Amino acid sequence: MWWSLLGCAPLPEVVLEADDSRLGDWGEPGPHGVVLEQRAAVARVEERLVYDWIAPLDVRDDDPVVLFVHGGLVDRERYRWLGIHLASRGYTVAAPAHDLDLAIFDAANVRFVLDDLERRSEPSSVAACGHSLGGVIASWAWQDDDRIDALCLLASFPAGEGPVDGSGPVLSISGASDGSALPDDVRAGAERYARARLAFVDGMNHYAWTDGATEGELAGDGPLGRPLEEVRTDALRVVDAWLDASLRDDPGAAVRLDAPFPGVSP
Amino acid sequence: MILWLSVALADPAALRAPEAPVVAVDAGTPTCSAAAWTGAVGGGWWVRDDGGSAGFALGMRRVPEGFGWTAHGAVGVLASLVRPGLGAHVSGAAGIARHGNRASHRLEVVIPMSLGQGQVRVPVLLEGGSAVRVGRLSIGGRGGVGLTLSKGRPSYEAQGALVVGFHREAPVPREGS
Repeated sequence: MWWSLLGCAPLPEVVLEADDSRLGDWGEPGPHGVVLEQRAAVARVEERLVYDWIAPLDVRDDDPVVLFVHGGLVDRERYRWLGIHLASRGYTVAAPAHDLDLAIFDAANVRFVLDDLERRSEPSSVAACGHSLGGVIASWAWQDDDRIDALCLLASFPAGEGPVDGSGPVLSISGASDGSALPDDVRAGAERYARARLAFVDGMNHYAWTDGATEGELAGDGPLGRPLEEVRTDALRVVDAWLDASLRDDPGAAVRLDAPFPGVSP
Repeated sequence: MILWLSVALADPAALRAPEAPVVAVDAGTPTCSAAAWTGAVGGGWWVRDDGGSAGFALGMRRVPEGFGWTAHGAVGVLASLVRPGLGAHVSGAAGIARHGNRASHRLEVVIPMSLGQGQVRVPVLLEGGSAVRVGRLSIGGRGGVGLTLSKGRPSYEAQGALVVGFHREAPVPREGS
């Protein structure tokens, strides 16, 4: 509390230098340098809501935004690798914190973060993205908030039963070896959306989406069938193409999505 | 019945101390607050423990003698510590309480609403508190659970605090208390 009262928030940090030799092929980092800042927004009138803001060093007001919701009991810092990857490709990523690392207790935080972003900039398009339990929260935000154009579920599926209301594209991508969000459940969940694209990454487990998985987490997960960097690259190839198609209207990305991806099955 | 007119804080949790001491300090989550009054009028401060805001409110409270119903209401202002801006606070509570010579207890439904920064916050909490008298001090605890209605899906609340009060006079022993 006291550092915040004194205005001593951590300074923005350059976490990736710009490099024009990085071509930014789908699944690979882009050429942008990346800055990470922990920002504070007002939530529910009184509260100080902290969120990670991960953006290109040459960020523009109209850059597309990815709102990211961490999984249950998993700190948002463990997904910074993903935020840095997306920011290097020109996306601004915002990941709110939640009490007890359980987003379901403060499901509207992602929308308060979007309020704060829109106060500072004018994003051209917005996607909500969440891992595991965070996918449930991201799906709610996408359903409730017209400002959110697209939804990306990482190893997740929507809460409840029956069709999920909401327009706009949906990507549901998960590991074929996921021991928490079982492939049958992920498939059934994706079928509840009107426009969902489904992808399973060979050999990927639940915690391959996070850094620093603990022994306890891995004990309840499926086996990681291939090297971590390999499964992440295969997964990111799909995520990158889908984001470019959904938020940037990139016709090449839309065509690419209809072709097979290496290490990924539909 | 004692009808207190006091200055307390938004969320004026200290005003909801199980009894009505001269000074009450409520330290816990999500707020730290203090209420102080002499007779009918007093003052105090309040701040959220996440550094989000601070506030001030004017309140009234009904405290029963023995067992009976209790209620309080308060209005005030709050200031955002995140970015410049003011908000308004309106809180109400009603429930039952028992005030003995050595211990006091209360159970209330509390709605400490606030609005500002383009947002509205409507918490609905079931809150309980107890305190025991030790000379001029009262020491107790407060806890509440409920949910907060605001933009989008509700947030779930769990609160707890240590409450310490100072009384102008030591309790007078009463038969049966």
